[in-house]
Amino acid sequence: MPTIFPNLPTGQGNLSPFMRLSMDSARHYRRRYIGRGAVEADMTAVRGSDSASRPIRRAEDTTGAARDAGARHRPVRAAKGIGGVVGAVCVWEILRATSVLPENNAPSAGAISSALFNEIGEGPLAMAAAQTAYAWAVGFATAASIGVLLGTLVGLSQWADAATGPLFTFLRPIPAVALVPVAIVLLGLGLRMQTFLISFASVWPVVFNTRYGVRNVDPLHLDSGRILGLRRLALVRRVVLPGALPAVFTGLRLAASIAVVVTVVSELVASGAGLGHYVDLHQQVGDMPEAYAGIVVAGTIGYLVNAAVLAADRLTVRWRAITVGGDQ
Amino acid sequence: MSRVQGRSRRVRQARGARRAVGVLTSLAVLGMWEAVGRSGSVMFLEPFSVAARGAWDLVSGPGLRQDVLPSATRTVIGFFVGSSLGVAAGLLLGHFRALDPWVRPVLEFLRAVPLPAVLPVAVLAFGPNSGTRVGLIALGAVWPVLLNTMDGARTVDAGFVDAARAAHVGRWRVVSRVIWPACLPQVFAGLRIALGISLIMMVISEMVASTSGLGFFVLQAQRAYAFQDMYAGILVLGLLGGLFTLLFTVVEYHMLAWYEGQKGIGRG
Repeated sequence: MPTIFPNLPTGQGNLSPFMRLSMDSARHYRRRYIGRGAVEADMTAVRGSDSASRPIRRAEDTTGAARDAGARHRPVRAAKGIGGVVGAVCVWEILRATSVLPENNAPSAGAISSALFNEIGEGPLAMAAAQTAYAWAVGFATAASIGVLLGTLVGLSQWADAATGPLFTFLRPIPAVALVPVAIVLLGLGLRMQTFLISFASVWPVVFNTRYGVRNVDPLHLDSGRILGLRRLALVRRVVLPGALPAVFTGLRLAASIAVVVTVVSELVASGAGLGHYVDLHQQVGDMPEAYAGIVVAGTIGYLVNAAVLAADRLTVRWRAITVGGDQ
Repeated sequence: MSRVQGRSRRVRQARGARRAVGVLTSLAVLGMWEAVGRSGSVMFLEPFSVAARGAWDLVSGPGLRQDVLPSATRTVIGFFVGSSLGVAAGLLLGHFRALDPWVRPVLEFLRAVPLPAVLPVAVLAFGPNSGTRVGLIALGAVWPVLLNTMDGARTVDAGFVDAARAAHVGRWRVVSRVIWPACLPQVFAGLRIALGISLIMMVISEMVASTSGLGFFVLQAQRAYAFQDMYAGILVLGLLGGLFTLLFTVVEYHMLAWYEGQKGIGRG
């Protein structure tokens, strides 16, 4: 049942039918066996004094992940996570010791981490990481702006959708890395080529998720907006886009990680800079610990990028907890 | 003629018009490519007709067995191996929820590692052979499937599982008959991402230290300034990607047919 007035301070409009039922039976029980005053005090305690924040908390409680991530469990959870990392390092060492991984090509975790610290401290690895991050940011920003624009357009206009549909169906499945040679030939080596490749690869999830989000804006919200006198552009800006935002962020998250992959590809194959080039260079020279350190940094960038988009999502789409979680 | 019939005919006409607009736009883009390619105003851009002829030569000549089929086979094997591993591990980790906080940070990190960065190292460690490439494709396909299956299995309606337990259904059958079907939609969402990654990994793995495959063919053509072959290879890669996506969509449609009808039930 959707929560219609989530911020209503009194009454039980913001409780699920099941909660209401269980509270009713609890009240009945108490009234019968304990007395009235105790019931009201207890109910206030259950509902909490800050009832406006209540539905949000309840909505988060419905998924296991959010419940596990509750503040109370955070230290335990972090400790378990660190335990998992230690376990992974142990698995790596065991694989080396049993020669599943060729020993001369798979350096020990200690060697990798000392290479990591040296190379970051002395500069080359930090430099490569910065180059990768910069190329990623340019490509991703291009893809995001083009993708949101195009997606909104094809989401709003059936004719635009019809015109681009077949074209997108042909273009989308082309693995972007297949365009590496063309991009090199037509755009040369460097940032322009990288930007083209990165944005070509990562624009599709943004386009299609934005389109989906725009299409699926609650008709009730649209009608309410119209009744309140919003004209076309204002309606798009104030109702459609905010309504589509959760879907847009899903697309941006996918796009961000694809963009990292393609950034590294473009560096590996064609550009003389960045982490892809760094790893390739050290592998050719035979500095395996340095090559692995480059991989670890690349993974960290991927991880941070994902976390950053998630955080932006959480900051921007604060109402999601109510609108999505409210009907569970 | 009744009003309803008139309306349905108008709807059909509008749909036909839209389809025509779509085809016309695609033709216009191809026409632009052709015209710009012929005019020679953009250096190294071959017209579409030349690329299409090259693509036909590639799939009808010896190139089919030398480059196209190895690429397709590697993609398919890598995708299947990776996604099966992902499903198995995902069901396991999703079912035993206590494991989640232990493994999730590691999994999230491993997923975030851009595999192309691993490519040179892997080729050096395991040799520049087909096995290494298939392994990398599988490694790319594992993560989205694993994490999606894991989340799907974790968030299966507890009521379903309880109902099955109450009916004395065994643990294994609960997984195979209740949890697995319930998380199937999410698994397919992961598989779709995995398919795209498999294609990317196929191309890029064939660009490094390879002697066969479409990725090798395209890069080789570029380095030899054989631009007809280069554009032809890209066209074939695009068609291959389209073909795989189409097959995937058909399978998904059949396996999730029950789900379309279920949406919305059990919520209100």
